[in-house]
Formats: sequence, C-alpha cells, structure tokens
Amino acid sequence: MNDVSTYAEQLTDQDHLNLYRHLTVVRTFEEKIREYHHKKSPVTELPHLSTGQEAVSVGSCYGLRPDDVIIPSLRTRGAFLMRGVSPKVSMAGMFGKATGLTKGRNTSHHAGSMALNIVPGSGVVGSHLPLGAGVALAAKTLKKDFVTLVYFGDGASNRGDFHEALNFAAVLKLPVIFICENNQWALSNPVTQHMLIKNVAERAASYGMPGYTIDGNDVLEVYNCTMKAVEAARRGDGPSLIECKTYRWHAHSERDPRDMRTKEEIESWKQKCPIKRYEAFLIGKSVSQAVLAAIQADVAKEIDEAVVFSETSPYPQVDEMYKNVYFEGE
Amino acid sequence: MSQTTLKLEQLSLTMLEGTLVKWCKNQGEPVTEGDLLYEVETDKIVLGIESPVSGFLGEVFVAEGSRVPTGTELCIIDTDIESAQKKKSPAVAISDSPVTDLASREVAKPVADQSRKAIISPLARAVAKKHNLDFSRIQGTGIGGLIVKADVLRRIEEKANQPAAANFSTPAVDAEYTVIPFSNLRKSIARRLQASHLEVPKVTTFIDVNMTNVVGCRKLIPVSYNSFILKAAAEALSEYPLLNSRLGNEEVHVLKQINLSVAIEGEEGLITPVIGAANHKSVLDIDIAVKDYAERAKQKQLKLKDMQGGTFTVTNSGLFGSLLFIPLINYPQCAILGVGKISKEPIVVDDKIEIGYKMILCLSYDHRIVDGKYAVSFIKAIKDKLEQCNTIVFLTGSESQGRTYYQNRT
Amino acid sequence: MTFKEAVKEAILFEMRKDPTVILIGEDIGQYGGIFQITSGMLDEFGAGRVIDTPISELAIVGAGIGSALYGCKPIVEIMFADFLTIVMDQIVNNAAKMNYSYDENIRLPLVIRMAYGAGTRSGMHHCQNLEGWFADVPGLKVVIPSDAYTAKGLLAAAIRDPNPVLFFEHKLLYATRCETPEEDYTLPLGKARVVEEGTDLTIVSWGIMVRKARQAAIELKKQGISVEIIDLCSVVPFDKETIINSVKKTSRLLIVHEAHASGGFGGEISATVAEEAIGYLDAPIKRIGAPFIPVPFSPVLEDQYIPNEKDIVKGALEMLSVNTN
Repeated sequence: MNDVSTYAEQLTDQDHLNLYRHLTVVRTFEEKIREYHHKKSPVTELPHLSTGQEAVSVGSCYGLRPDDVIIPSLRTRGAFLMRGVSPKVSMAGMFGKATGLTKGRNTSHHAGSMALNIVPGSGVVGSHLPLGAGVALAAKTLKKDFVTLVYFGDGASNRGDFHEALNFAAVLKLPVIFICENNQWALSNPVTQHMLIKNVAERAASYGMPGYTIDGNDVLEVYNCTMKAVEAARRGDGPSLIECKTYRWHAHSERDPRDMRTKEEIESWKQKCPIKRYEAFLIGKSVSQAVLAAIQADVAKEIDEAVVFSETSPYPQVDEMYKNVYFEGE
Repeated sequence: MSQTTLKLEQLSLTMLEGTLVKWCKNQGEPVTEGDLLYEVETDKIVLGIESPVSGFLGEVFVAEGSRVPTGTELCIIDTDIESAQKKKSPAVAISDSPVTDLASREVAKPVADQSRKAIISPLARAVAKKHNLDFSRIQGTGIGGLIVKADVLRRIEEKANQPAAANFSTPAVDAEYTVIPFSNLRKSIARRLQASHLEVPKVTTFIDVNMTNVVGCRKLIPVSYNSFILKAAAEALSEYPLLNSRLGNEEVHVLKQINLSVAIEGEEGLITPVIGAANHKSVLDIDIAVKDYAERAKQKQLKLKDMQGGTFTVTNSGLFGSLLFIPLINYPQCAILGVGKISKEPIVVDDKIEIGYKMILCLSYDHRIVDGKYAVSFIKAIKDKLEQCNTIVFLTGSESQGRTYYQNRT
Repeated sequence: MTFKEAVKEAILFEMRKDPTVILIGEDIGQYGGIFQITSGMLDEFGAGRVIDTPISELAIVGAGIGSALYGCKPIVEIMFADFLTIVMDQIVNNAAKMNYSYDENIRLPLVIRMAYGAGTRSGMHHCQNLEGWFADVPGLKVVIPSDAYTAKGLLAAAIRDPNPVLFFEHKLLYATRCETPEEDYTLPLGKARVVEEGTDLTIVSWGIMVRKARQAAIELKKQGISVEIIDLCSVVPFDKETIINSVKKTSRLLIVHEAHASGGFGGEISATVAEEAIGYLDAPIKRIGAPFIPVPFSPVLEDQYIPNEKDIVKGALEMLSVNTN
C-alpha cells in the first residue's frame, strides 16, 4: 500500500472494518448478480458489473456527509450502496420490482433519491456531468457547503459534456469533484486507442483545475485523495478531477458478444484485487482471519436475503407508470 | 359524346303531343338525376318530368308554352361536367400509328363518374340523416366537391318547393294536418296509376276457384299458394296470348315472353319485380324466385333489371284478407290478375256438401284489346289448372323435369 | 408596454421576490443580453445570481437542471431557439425525465427562454420554429406568448411552475406593444385564450401568428365572415377542450403557425380534433404554415416563406366554399 497521509491516518479500526465490509458488500452483490444472471435466470436490468472497481466508490464515498450529493455513472453500484441504498432495494430495482427505487419506472443504476442525495445518471454516457456542475452551482448560489461527486469512466471523458462541464465548473469555481473510474477500456476500445494522452487527469490542466491520477484499487488512497478534494471544494477552492486507475474483471455488460481483453491482462489486474490488498493490509494491522470471515459470512447472508427479497417482491401496478411525469401541486 | 338528348316521351298510349308548360332548370344550371327538369301537359294532366341523368342543362330546343309532337327533341344534358363548363365537347382523336405523338392526341376527359360515392362532410351527413335525405346526388360546393351543410339545406328546401306532379285541386278544408312528402317511388306509382286509371277502359271479371286440391298439393311441395297461382296464370297466358300484350297505335303487340310482374309490398310502396319466362318455370322455381325478391326488397337490394320487362301482373290482396277487389292495370300492360283470400267454405261435390277451400280471382283487362268471352275463358283456364292441380307436368314444368324432381324426392 | 419590457418585468418581479431565482446564459450579465432584456440585472442582483457563461450550451442547460434540483429556480437563456438542437439530450433525456427517474415526486423549476422565429434576415440557423419537436416529449411544458400581456403572465407562471418549461419569444414581437397590467400576475399554463369570438370559422394560432390571424379576421369580416380566434398560449400541454368547444360552434378549423405546415404542431391538433369531434366538422381541417424548406435568407425569399394575412384569408375563404379565383 502506498504512503497514506492525514485523512487515511485518522481512520479508526472500526472504520477499517467498515471499509472492509463495504468492499465485501459491493463485491458479493456484483458476483451474486452475475451468478444469478447466468445460472438462474437473466436479470431484467442488464448487469454492468463493477467487480474489481470496488475501491473507487467505497473509498470516495466513505468520508462524505449525508448532505453531499453523488451522481453515479452506470457502473458505480458501490456509490449507491455506500450512500444508503440497501442491497435488497438496489437488487429489487434491477428486477424491475415495485420495491426498487423509482418503483420500476427506471432501472436501478439510473435511479435517483432526494432522501439519499443521489441524482439520477443518464443512459447516455457522460450526459450527467453538466448536472454535477449544476448541483454544485446551487450549493454556491445558496451559500451551502455540500459538495457534489460525479462519477464517470475513461470513455465518457471524450464526450462534449465532459469538456463543457469541467470548463464551466472551473470558470465558476464550483464545489464539484469529477471522479473518473479509468478501467482502461471503454466498451471495446482501450484507452490507448481512444485517447492519446496517458492519463485522463491531464485534461484537468486544460481547464485550470487540479487533476490527480491515483491507484484506484487502493481504497485508502482513494479515500485520502477524495477527502482532500472534498475539503478543498468545501472551502471554496473549486473543482478537481480525480482519476482512479482500476480495472473491471468482467465484460462491459453481461450480454457482450465478445470481450476484447486478453486473459493475461485480466489475470494481471486480478492480482491487484482491491479487496485482497485490503485484506492483506488489515491482517498486517492484526485483524484476524476469523473477523474477516465473519464479515464475509454476514455480508453473504445479507446478499442472499436481498435475492429472496427481489424474487418475492411484487411488480409495480400499471398506474405507477403514469406518475412522476409532471410535478403536480405547488 | 358525353351528352344526352331528351325527347318528349309518350306518356300515355293516346298521347300524340304535349305542351311544354315550364322549364324547371335554366340553361347552364347543374342538373342531378331525379331533379324535376320540365313540366308537360298532355290531354288530361300536367306531369313533372325528372331528369334521367346528372349534368348541366345545355341547349334547350323547345320554349315554354310550345305544343310539340311526342318524340320531339327538347334539350341536351351535358353529362361531361368539365366540357360543359368550358363550353366545348371533348374530342377523341386516336392516331392510327402505334407510336403516337401525345401532344397531338386529345384524350377524352373522364366523364363525371355518377356511380362515385358522394363525399359529404360529417356535419352535413348528420343533417341529411335527420331529414331522411338521400344525399348521393347532391352537387357539393365545398372543397373538392365536398357536400357541405349548406348544400344539404338547399336540397331540402328545393324538395319542399317542387310542384305537384298531378294537377288536381284539393278541397279547401281549414284543418290541421301532418305533411308526409312523397318518396320518389310513391311519385312514380302515383303517376303510373293516374295514367292507367285515366287512359285504360278496363273491365273486371271475377271467378271462384276451388282450392282444395292446391291445398293438398301444397302438402307435397311446401311452396306458397301464390306460386301455384303464378304458375297457373303463366300457363293460361300461353294459351290466351292476347292478354300478354300491349296496345300500339291501333294495333296489338302480342309479347313473346311471359314475364310475370309479381306485386310485393315494399317498405315504401308496392313494387313489381319480374319473373321472366314464368310459363317455363316450375312452381318451385317460381316460389324460390319470389322469396328471393322479397328478401332482397327488404335489404333494398333490388336492381332496375329485376323490375323491367313485365308483361302481366299478379297482385295478391287475399294475403291481407281481401275477398275480392278491382285491381288497376299495371300500365302499359293489358291485364292484371287480382287474388283474393283462401277461405274454408262449404262446397258442393257430387251433390253433397263438403268442407273445402275457396278463393276468388279478379281479372281486370283492357277492353280495347280483349273482349269478355276471351277474358273469361282465360280466367277459367287458370281456375281449371288450379282445381286440377295434381299434374306432375303442371307442378314441375316439364315431363322430364318432373321425373327428375320426383326421383330426387323419393 | 412592449413585449420585451413585459418579459423583463416578469423576470425582475421574480428575481426580487425570490432569492433562489437565478439567471444563467451567454452574454446576459454585463452585456445585458443580445436583446437587452437582462440589462441592469447584474448590477441589481450580482454575479452570484446573474451568471455569464462560456459558450457551452450543454453545461448551461445541465447546470440549469442540476441547480433546479437543489433549491434554485434557474432561468436559463439559450440565445436562439435553433440551439435547442445542441441541448436536445440535456432537455429530452435529463430535464424531461428527471422526475420520472427519482424515487420521490420532485420539482424541477427550470425555465429555458429562447428567441425564435423568422423575418429578421438571420438565416436558416437563427430563425427556426421548433416548438413542435417537444410535443412528443413527456415531462416538459412548452409555452409561446403572442403579445406583451401573455408574455408577462405566462413567464411569471413558468418561473413559478415546478416543472421544466421551454419559453419561446418571437424576435419580431419584442418591439410590439399592448395593454399590460402593471402589477404582478400570472396566466395559467396549458390553457388557451379565446381572443376573438365568432361563428363561422375557428382559427387556432400561437406566437406571432395570432396578430396575423387577427388582421385576417378583419378582412374576413368585411366579407361577412365571423371568425373565432384562439391563442393557444401553451403548445404542451395544449388546451384541446377550448378548441373542440369552439369547433362545435363553428364547424370549421384552421390552424395557423409559422412552423412548417408539414410536420408542425398543427398536425397534432388536427388529429386530435378529427379523432374527438369529427361529427361537428363541415370542412376538412386546414393548416397554414411555412413551406417545407429551410428558412431562406434573402428578404424577398424569406417574406414569401413566412405565412401572412393574405394566406390566412385565402385559406379561410376556401374552407367556406367561397371562390377564391
């Protein structure tokens, strides 16, 4: 693990176990969905799995306040779970059940919640970035000090929305942190082919904002860097771009006809598994295997319960789809 | 040429000339089939004459007040609307060579398709329906010839203002009354009956018929009684052909085919569809034909050809309970057979009184063509055939047909 | 007052009353806006609430949406309605569907104001009528005032409405005047106004075409034709009840808009009336709009392109079976 500075050092033992549990929840959730989708029956919401990228969402969300706002991308399952969407609600939403967020009106990975300060992402890659600037604009205008985190992938950083949003946020000095989950691949196009620069974070300089490239599989580094950026934004220093180098173990979606990546590449990244690395770190801090195993078992039980909940939950009534088109009332 | 020349029709057999009392349309005005076109006075009455075609009134040859012989050309109706409007007739000049110079070839402009369905606005349709108006022949003034409400209202007003076809005075009675306007059919019936009544010196003769055998035969072939009578009449006509004729100018035209006009009560009035060559048809055939006509009349699916060519009419009021009656001749036919009701009666058979079935037949005939003895012989022939109704030939139309018929039945 | 003044007044009223109302757009601050509608507002409200932006329509609209979600009431200015094409994704996929994508029923009090319309010799990219495009996007409201009176009332209502509203201002209406109340008032969104009563023909129109319809009505009155004119005010949702009630009375419907006759919003109105009131019609429903070509530049061409009073009169006479040759 890298040298961690102030923020990470202030984490307690309990924090560490919490972080471990969060990582395990995301991992177990994703793998359970994968297994269900291929072995039992296809999950209605086509899974876009984040297995391997858990450290980014867990590390970045851990230090946020409840009034901070996140805007996830299509693969940031962890952020939903971190912000308080329970695994069963998140999963039921994937099944299109009435017990998911939005009661079946939208998928689980594009759902929003005012209570949990999650703004819906869009099915159009990258379109949510200007929204992040907007939410941050509200904070600044109304003189509130909540921050906004916007997640996106390396592929999205080539969209016009990315450039306009970053420039806009920088010019107006908005309290928004752009977090790029650079998992080395857009759908079938590797970063080496879809851009000429080595690091997405280099683009931050074009807009006059700080850009950081970090090990996205080191949950403490992610936590640390995010907290730094968050505190800067809260202070009024404006936006940052954090690029987390990471990797997804599975294809873009669980229905991809092909995966262009080599077995070797996937294996080499599996060696850098964020959870394995964190386990090693915890064991180094004298956390026992038994404790870790207990957490794993507890998480497994929670995810199994989520499956049962999702299977047994009812589908929404038809009149549900007529709601929330307009806001009726004052 | 898309034009129709109208001539003064001979409306009665004695009509030699007529006075054109009034033109109901002006030159150049649009005319719809069925519109009153002119009024003509014959010896006895003034009749309103409807236009047989739609188009525009073109040249008029006879002025109001002129007295002209029948057959005189009265006017031209331009049925090609475009040419009427441009006041020129379309030329069809097709060159002989297969490769034609399109520019030099004048192609006939399409004649206004009178069978085309009328295009009417929804609102106008509702108004027409309310007034029970047949809008199919209204000229529309809306976009693309659309019939609009104003057009419908105009037609309703027009019809209300049309002059009476017959010119007799009604007594001036100061009383409240409901107006029931004549349908087109009613008008036509009224005209023909008027002419018949006035023109034909008719005599009616009656005869009673013992229908007991027919009743028995009917158990064998379940057809209506009327079909037996029709068949008997057709057979009798072939024996007494003078009654199957028409009066010419001091000559009789004896018609070769025996086509029976069968009176049927339609929804709007009496109609007489025709059974052609009835003498060659079996009772069964006749029965089927009559029932088919009745059904089609109900569905309003009778065609013009169904109604044409009748030479002798049979009309049955006995169905409704009439004992006997004096039928009016279906002008210009020579005679008409009226059928009274069949009732159970005491009859004399071999000097004994038995219960049987009796019916009275009524024959009205044109005395100019036929005298009493001939007419009575004819009606007696019908009586005999009905009373002897157990002949295979009579029932089935011919011997071979009869054999086949019975072979199929047994 | 003029239409322009009316728009400005509506904005000022809301800005002064409600500190969460903010303006976002290009050249709206120190410059005062290209039509000078927001002049003076930077001084009055400060850069925190009158935000000049880079040329970034995606960010502008996205920022409008985001800030509307979190407590602001942004009035976003898109310089020309033609630039809606750039921000279709933000409007159609984000703004219109935000509420639907939330667990809760949420407000999105966003107004997007735009200058639109032909007649200013500005060429094909600055003159289009695109309001009809949004007829098929659930979740938005589309409003088009026809004069100063409707501009002020409808804009005030739009700013207060908790749904995203597209507000179209015809450039050639800016300088026009009409009686406008001094005080603060709103006109209801989604309701049409019967601006003239009549018995022979219903004309439905919006934006700048309403005044042309009124001119045409004067001409038609000389020929004894009584025209009822409906100012639609809102294209989405549109007040079909008022239109159908009028058609029941007059039995003829003429729709006049500056957008292309083919494909413009008139088609939706025609189909709705045909579907629900065909029995009352005594003539086919007619639409008058621009020909199906881009807006041409040269004055002679552009003037031919835009439907005018004569076109309306001719169309009306045809519908009334009056020979127009």
